[in-house]
This record gives sequence, C-alpha cells and structure tokens, in this order.
Amino acid sequence: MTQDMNDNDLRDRFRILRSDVERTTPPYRRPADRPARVRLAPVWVTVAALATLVAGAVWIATRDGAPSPQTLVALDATWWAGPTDFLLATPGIELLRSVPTIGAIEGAADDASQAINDTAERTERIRS
Amino acid sequence: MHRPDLEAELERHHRAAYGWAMSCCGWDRTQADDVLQTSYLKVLEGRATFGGRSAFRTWLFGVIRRTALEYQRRNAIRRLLPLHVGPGSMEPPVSGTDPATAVEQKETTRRLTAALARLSGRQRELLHLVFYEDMSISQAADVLGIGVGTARTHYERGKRRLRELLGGRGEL
Repeated sequence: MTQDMNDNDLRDRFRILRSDVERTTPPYRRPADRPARVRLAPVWVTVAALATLVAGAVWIATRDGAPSPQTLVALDATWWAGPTDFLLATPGIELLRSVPTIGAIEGAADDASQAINDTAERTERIRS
Repeated sequence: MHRPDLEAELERHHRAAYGWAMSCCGWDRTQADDVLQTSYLKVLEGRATFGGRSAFRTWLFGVIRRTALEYQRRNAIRRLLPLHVGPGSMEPPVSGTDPATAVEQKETTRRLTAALARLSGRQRELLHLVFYEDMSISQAADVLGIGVGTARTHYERGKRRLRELLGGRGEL
C-alpha cells in the first residue's frame, strides 16, 4: 500500500519504541495476586451520608408538633408552699389586695368581716 | 465469557495492553500499572462486560482508555504539582548489545514520546493504535468511539504534525 510505504519512517520509530517498551513490560499477573488496596468510599457516598445526617438533625430541631408525654409538665405538682408562708397570711390581707369600687360601700363592712373570717380559717388550715 | 477465558484473553493481550496503557498515561510507568490493574479488575469482576460486538482487543483497549481518563481526572490536582513526572519519563531501557545502537534507540524513543506528547489527545491515540498496535484506522476508531472519517482526519493531521516535530532541530 502506498500509504504504508510512505509511512515507513514513522513505523520504524514506533517499532523501536515498541521493542523498548516490550523489553521492560512486566509479566501478566492476576489482579487477585496483587496486594489489595484499601478502597475508600466514593465521594458521592460520603456527601450523601453527610447530607442525610444534616437533614435529619435539622428536621428534629425544627419539627413543630404536639409535645411528647415526656415533655408535659404537671403544673399542679410544681406548686410549693414554703414553711413560713403562714406568716404572710395577715388578717385583712384580702382588703389590701382587692380594689374598692364606688357604690359598694354598704356591704363593705360585711365583706371585711367575711374576709377576716376567711383569713383566720386559712391561717388555721396552714398551721395544721 | 467465563473468568478463565477472560484471564486467558487478558494474558494474551497483556503486552499490547501495557503499551496502550503507557500511551494513555503519558508514558508514566506507575500510572500505567495502576490503570492496567484497575482495567483488569473491571473485566474480571464484570464491571466491564465484553459484548462481542468487536474484537476483544478493541474492547479491552476501550476499557483501558476510559480507566486512564478516570484515573487522570481523579489525579488532576496531583498532576499540577511541580513533582509531576511528565511525558517522556519512561526509564531508558537497557537495549541491544551495541552501546552506540542502544544510545541511538534511546534517543529515538525519547524524541518520539516527546513529539507525541505535543500532539492532541486524539491524534496521539490514533497514531499509537495504528503504528504501535498495528490496528487499522477503522479498528482505532472503534477503540476511541468515533467515526472512521473523523479518525482518518485526526490520523492524517497527526502524522503531518508528528513529522514536523520530529524534523525540527532542538525542539524536543
């Protein structure tokens, strides 16, 4: 072939290259015979795992729903009375806490006596 | 194909495959070893399956080429380092008995690999497959996954450029 004839110069050069390479070519060995390399997980696997973790953490932190039974606080159980609270229960304390209203003077004495009675009862109850 | 058959085929084409791996890896022996081992593993573990649509060698060369490209992409940063061993780093082989001939052959090899390194990838691959592996342009086109017409164009341009480079003085 004419083309081949014209390319003989290149063929000769490649033939020399080939003979050099083949002289130093290591013999065929089964890949299994070679020391196994540690194969790291591909980058996309690592990225996907991290993204899943972050998404999970965000979901847990931001989810809005009914509180779990463990998070419910029994407010009744948190009431605490100090041992000296009864000292604050002075007679007529209700009068100090209530706001007098105009036009309600007539019954004020009755209310006051009632309040005093209530206070006395309450004091007794706390002492007991 | 079963594993013993595959192994027999790999062993039969090992020398040619090694030369092709060297070419794909810029004549870097370490890279070529790694690429070839990975390619063999792909074949034996079934990650690359021979469909019988072409000759086994043609198909194997395609696997090696893809593996080399993957390898180079993965090591792109490392290749930018100043310690990178570039094309033409092939160790000078111990050739014939005549020292003068050995030196001459070594120089020929060095100049050729240096000139090949200055061609485009396609041209370099085509010239290697045709001249080194004795493939036809059609077979080389199959390995590279391109049309015969395109392959012929790259082949002709590559030859012309290679001759220019080899003919120049002091360039290589």
